[in-house]
Order: sequence, then C-alpha cells, then structure tokens
Amino acid sequence: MSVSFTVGSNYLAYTAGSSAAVGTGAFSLYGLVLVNAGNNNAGLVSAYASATLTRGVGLSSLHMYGPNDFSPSGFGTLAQSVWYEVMVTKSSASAPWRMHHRLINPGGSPGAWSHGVATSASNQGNGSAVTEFRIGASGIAQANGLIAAWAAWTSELADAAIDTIDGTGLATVAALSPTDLVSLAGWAGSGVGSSTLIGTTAYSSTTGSESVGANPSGFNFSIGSSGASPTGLAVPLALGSPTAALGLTAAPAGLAIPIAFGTPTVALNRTAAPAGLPLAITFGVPTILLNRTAAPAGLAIALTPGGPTVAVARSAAPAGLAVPLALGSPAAGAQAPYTTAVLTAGALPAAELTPGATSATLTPGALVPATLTAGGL
Amino acid sequence: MTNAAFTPFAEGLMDGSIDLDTAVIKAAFIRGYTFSAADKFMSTVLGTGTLNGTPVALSSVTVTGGVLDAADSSITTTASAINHAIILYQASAVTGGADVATSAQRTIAFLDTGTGLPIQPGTGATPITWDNGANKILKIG
Repeated sequence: MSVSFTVGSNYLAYTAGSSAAVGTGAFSLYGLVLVNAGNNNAGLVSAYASATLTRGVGLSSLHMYGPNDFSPSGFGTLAQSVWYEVMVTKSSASAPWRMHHRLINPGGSPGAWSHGVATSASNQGNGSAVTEFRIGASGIAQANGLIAAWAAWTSELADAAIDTIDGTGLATVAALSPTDLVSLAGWAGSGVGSSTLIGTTAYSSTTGSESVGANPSGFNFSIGSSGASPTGLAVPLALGSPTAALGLTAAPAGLAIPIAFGTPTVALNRTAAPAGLPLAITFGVPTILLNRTAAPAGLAIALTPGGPTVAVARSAAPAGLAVPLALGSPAAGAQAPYTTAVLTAGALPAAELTPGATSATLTPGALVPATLTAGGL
Repeated sequence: MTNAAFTPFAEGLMDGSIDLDTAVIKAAFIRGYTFSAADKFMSTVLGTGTLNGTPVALSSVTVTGGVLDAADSSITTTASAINHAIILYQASAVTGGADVATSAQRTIAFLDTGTGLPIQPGTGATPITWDNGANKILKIG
C-alpha cells in the first residue's frame, strides 16, 4: 500500500543511491501522489545535499512549487483526493523549474500531461551532490496525503519523453531509465515494503509518523509486467561425411597389450572356519522301464521225432551146414562131442557169407572159436 | 550475443545424461554472467551469475520433431536495474525428481535475445512467453 502522511513534518528518508548527481546538474524528479483534502499544501519529493534542500516539488495552495521558487502562483492547480503523477525537471543551465503533472483517472483513461514554468519563476542554479531524498515533508511544505512511488533522473526529460509515461503503471516510467525508481505499493509501515525497482537508493529512516494508505486503483507497479519472449533457438546438427572403404580386407597386426599385474597382498595366518554349506540336493526322478517279476511258464517243447531209417539187418538163416568134423583124439578128459553148431550172423566173416547164399564155404580157422559152442551147431 | 546452446548440452543428449522431456528443465532470469559455451554445470554459471527469483520448471514439455516446447512460464522476480537473460538448465537428475546440487545441474541454453530481452525485471510475476515460431524454445537440426 502507499505511504499515508498526515499534515506535519513527516517524511521518509532515502539514500542518494544512483542519483547523487541530481543536485549538481540536470535532473528530473517524479512522484505518484494524492493530496488529502483539508490542507492545500503538501511536500512531495525532494532532494537534499546534507541538510540543504536543493531540488524538489511540492504544493502550496495546490499549486506546484520548487525550492526557492517565489513565483506568485506556482504552476498549475491540482485537485485534492485524486491521484496525480507530478514531475519537476531542469537542465544544468541556470533556468527555472519546469513543472509537469497529469491526473490519474482510476478506472478510466488518464488525463494528459501539463507542462510549464510558473509565471515569474526565477532561475535556479546547481548545488551540491544529493545525500538524501525525502518523501513527504520538505522545505517546500509539510506532508499531506499519499505517495505511492518516486523516481529520479540525472538528466532533464523533455516534455515529449514525459508524455510517454502513460499513467497506467510504472513500466513506462521505467522505460525512461531513471537512475532510481522506488515503489511504495507494498508499504507496510515503518520502512517495510519499500521496493527499489531501479537503482540503488534505499530506505533509511522515517521522521515523524506515517501510516499505510491505499494505492491508485488499477495502477500497475510492476515494471517487468511485459515479461520476456525469447527468440526460439535453432541448434544445427552438423553431420560428418563418412568414408566407406569397399572390399578391403583388414589384416591388423596383432596388438600387444602389456598387462601389469599388481602385487596382491595376502593376509596370512588366517584361520578359515567357514560355516557349513547347506547343500540342497535335488534328486531326479529315475525312470524305471519295467519292474516285472519274471515267472516264465515252463516251456513246452514238442519234439517230433523224425522217421529214422533203420537199416534192416537181414538175418541170414542159412540152412544148416553139415560140416564133417574130423575129430582128433582128445588128449584129455572126456568131453562131450559137439553135435551141433549154431551160426549167428556176425559170427561168420562177411566174406564168408553172401546174402541170399544158401551155402558157404567155411574155411577152417575162419570161425571164431567163441561162437562155436558145443552143441551150437 | 545471441541465443546459444551450451556445448555440453549436445554431449548430454548423446550420452543420455540430459533428457528434455523426462528430467525437470527449469528457466531462470540471470544477471552478471557472461556466456561461455563450454560451461557444463550451473555451479560454474553461478560462479559469476546471480539468479533473480525462483527458477521455474517448464511444464507441458514436448520434444516432437526435435523441437522443445513448453507452456509459457512466469517467474516471480525482484526489481533490478541490471540486464537479465534467461538460462535453461536441467535441474534434476536425468530421470526427474527433486533438484540436484548445482554442480550436477546441466546447462542447456542461454537466451538473451527476443522481445523484452535483456530484461530489467520488476517486482512481481514476470512472464516468459516462449517463441511460437518453428524453433519454439529450442530446435535441434
């Protein structure tokens, strides 16, 4: 919120910041102000060199005055209880203060700037470097009303330049590159909420008393409100030109890579007592092909005898052969004379017997004695 | 100078240490820094540069067709009469998440050219309107 001053010697002090040269040459001062009804005087924005008022703007009988300005009626006449932008400018040459004001019309279009020099205003010279800016009461008049912003330039702004301050916000003030620009829109009392938007001036103290007032409705205190719109960035891709070797047979020489081994450190005398390792044994499932108990039935083997060929031994039954025996005279013992002999096949030599023969010639001695038995013939 | 990308940005895209649509990409107003293409990390940038306000993460990021785009941003700034540019950087790990140390935050691009740039921001919300041309925020190729 703005700073609200009751009538009296009440002011905020700021360091000279970036605007010390305001006191020694060309300058411009700006204030966003509202004068309360009930008193027609108001100190607004002033610059001091030590304790000496050198530059400034204020109201006397609602007319604009600067320091050492003894013009009979100042410049212009401001209304009360409405917001104005006010300025005072001067070149470095000896010249009267040049005053500027424009009505802020909350909710509507701002009024036009009025520029001019008070009738019969005397010339003003240069002074010493500014050491302090005062917002509110000054050597021009006591404080009275609201102040929401102030600015300083170390150059004289031309009327045409001032006309570009459009009354809608501080952005157009900032666009004129003041050396210091302070917003009091965030004022919370006792020095809290003063914002130096441009420059290095800083709140230093409060003299008298102040309170928190309203801001002009719809007034934009941000000087960065227009923001930034960076141009899109194109990052080019640079492609190399590859060379493809055709049909080449690579026969690289062998690469000798030396290997340097480190020297391992072996910790000695350690007793290893490893925990037993549980081994999980997973058995496969064997496949048993046949678990049969053999009980073979007895094997019946049918034997089919072949038809053997039996050679029939033919039996010869030759007619008995009367063989005359010439018997010797036995020398011993009486023995029954042979009477008969039985001849059996086989008993006779094969050569002696002819199958089918009805007779055979027996050769003495051919008979086997064994086959001859007494009485067998 | 003109808007430019940091050289290690391309390196990061190739080796996978920068991922524009996965990691958290932030924009910030910076003053007092002179662009050096080789600067890889924000810690280097902040050796001389000062950020104004709290950097803001890009939202609605797209990389279609090799073009980085995002919703317009807004940074709450404090007033300064010093010129500011915009710096883009990967604030998080490549996989996203919280901010990592500035020594690990990868620089992407430095933008000091465009409407309103360089800027002397005021107190309050300062909008950044990304380019709606072919390059959007940044185009590769």
